[in-house]
Amino acid sequence: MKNLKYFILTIAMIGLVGPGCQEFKFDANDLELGIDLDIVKTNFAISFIDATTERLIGEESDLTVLVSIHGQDADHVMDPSGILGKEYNSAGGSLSISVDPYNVVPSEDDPVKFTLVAELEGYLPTSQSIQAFTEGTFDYEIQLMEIVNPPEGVEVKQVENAGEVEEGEIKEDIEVKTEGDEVVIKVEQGTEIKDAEGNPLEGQLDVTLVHFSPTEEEAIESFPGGLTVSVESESGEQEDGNFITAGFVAIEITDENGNKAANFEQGELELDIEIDPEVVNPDTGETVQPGDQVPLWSYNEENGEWTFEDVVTVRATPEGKLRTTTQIHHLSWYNLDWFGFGACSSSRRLVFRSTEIGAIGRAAAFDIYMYRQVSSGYIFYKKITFRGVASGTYPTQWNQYLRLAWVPPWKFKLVIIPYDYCGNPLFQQPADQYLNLCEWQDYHIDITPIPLKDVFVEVYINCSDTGIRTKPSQSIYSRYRAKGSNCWNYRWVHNGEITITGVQENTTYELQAYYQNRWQPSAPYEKFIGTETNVVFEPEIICGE
Amino acid sequence: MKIITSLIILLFFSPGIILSQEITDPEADETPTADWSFASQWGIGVKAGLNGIGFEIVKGFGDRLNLRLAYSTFSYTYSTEQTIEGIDLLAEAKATLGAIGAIVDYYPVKNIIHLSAGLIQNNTLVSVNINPLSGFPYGDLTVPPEDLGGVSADLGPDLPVAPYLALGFGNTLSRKHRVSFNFELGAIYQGAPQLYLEGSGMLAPMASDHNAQVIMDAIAPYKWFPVLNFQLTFKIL
Repeated sequence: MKNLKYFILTIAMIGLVGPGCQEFKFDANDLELGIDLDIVKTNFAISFIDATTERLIGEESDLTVLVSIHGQDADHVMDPSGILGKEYNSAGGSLSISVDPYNVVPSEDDPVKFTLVAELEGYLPTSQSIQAFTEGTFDYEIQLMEIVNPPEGVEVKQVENAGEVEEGEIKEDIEVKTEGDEVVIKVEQGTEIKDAEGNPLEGQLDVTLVHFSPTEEEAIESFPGGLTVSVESESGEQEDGNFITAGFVAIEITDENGNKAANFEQGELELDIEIDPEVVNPDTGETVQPGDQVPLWSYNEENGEWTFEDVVTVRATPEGKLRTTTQIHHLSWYNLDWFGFGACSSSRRLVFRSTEIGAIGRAAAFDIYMYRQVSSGYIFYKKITFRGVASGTYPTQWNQYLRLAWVPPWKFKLVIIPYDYCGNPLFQQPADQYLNLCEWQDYHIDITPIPLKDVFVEVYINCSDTGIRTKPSQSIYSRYRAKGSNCWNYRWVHNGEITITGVQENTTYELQAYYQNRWQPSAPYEKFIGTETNVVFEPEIICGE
Repeated sequence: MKIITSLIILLFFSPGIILSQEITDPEADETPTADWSFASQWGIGVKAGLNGIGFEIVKGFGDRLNLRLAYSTFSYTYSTEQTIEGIDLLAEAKATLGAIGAIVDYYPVKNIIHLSAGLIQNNTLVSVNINPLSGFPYGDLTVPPEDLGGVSADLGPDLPVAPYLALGFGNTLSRKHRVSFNFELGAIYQGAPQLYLEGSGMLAPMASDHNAQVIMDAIAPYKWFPVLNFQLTFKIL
């Protein structure tokens, strides 16, 4: 009997300890093997916009813009997945690029700088100077002009069989002009025309002339190369700064084999450009007058830089027009611009803020039209785009501030127009701002949200190739839309979170992320949103090794 | 299963050996001592088991009751290298065992079998530190180890002071002999083990609350910490 008791007690003790010895049931697949990939701190989203239609180029087609990177920090440009490169193709009208965080840390004293050169068949090539003073996400718009469909203020003249060359030598004088005589080019008989490799052109010549008005807003907005530029100055030094333009001309001459003219020998090309009398000479502060001098610059298509060519003098014609004439020996874009003006290298910070709680989490894009003060009032200077997300509590402040590079120390009027890509503004238009951008204090711009339904979205990325599921802490350029809509909204997803504003209830939404130079997933991720205000999106993308 | 089998074999054979040893001289300790004085029946024991190695101070009361104050400790370190998500990692683990406790033994069968109960401060703690040895390839970049950060985990009992139950064979303090031997099988109720994860740098998400909960769910059934002790006690008074 005693032995039985011992036996029962022993079994009882095993019963107590037993669970400690049971089989360990653990599935490692239940773990989230996420890695905080917040390595890349400086990101740029580039939107390629058709200057006339104002739509993203390739958003609804297969058109891709070829982008090459040049300039100071070109070696450190990469895509957001860390692949260094100097050539990229846009996807759906967008490009997201970053800089190597281990070699480039932008600062006030040492901003990151490089130049994008954008090319697309049938469009005038263009370039954009990129500059960032801090880490963060930055948005740029590059307007490209389709040669056969120019915007207001741009004159295009295409002439087939404008002349003939034999072994590169022009057989008869050539003269081509735009419809309104804004540009006239002349090449005399006997002049030799060669391509960039030194080969003579042969046969019939086709000529394309493009003239951008210096006073039409749309033309200035789509100005090839933009107006913030890197130049090789008269002294031969590299300088950064801004142009005030008196006119821009693109000339293209091709032979029947498609070879492009680059240089003229045994003669030259006479370039005669009309100057709009409304142009204000920044040196005098008055409208341009006969006798005024304007620097002439030529464009290097390979690196997006402008080179000083000459100073031309404005003359009055018997018809009462203002014109300049110069002789050129190589074919390029030519730009009549004043440059410099004692500009400050970086402007004061423009800080967007709101005292409305409804602004929190909202992303906003602003078109900012800058007008410079002249004696007669304000005239258009340039347009810039700013995007950011309202964060914090009170006053809500945008996660990015705006700081412009190389701004002249003049008084500006800023007209700020909030928008989203689909034409549904999320904020009221603020009052026009009048300020000198070269002062040092922060300048606050108060923004008021329009009451709309906001939905807070957490985004978890499922990497189909690595199996990682993560709420990405890095900034990822994304786009979303209501299913069935033909209009995407573009947003940076920060820390795996975005707020979608203006949500229609009981609607399926689509989402794609820009990663590895394409929009993923190729079939957009879909999520039905009912009446809730918090949802989780879980798109599956290829993350790469 | 091997552990359970071994335990069962141990359980069935060890007591038998002890019993057979004690039973050879059943009268030796059968004489009632009924000594409840504070000045007598003291012993010092040394022990080894799943709680580590340690010592005990044993006080006997009468002929069926012992009170023990116990201390034990042990630590063991282990390291291994693994590659996870393209990162070479060094995992260093340190297991610390140990307990401080007060235990009462009751002998339903004098000198042979005792039931024990007490309160134990369970010092068991398993710490793991995972740190990268190499950089992490990110596209054309290599993220240096210092940016990768690391993950540390501490696994310990839910109850810092916990009840202890055991069944012992032998004697924790012989009334007649200078030396006594005891084998004890028991368990500390520690509650569901608690895991504390901490991460830094790029590896910080590995230490997420979600992952901590997944692991805690897996180890939640292990509420009883097994105790297996062998002990020699030397009577000093």
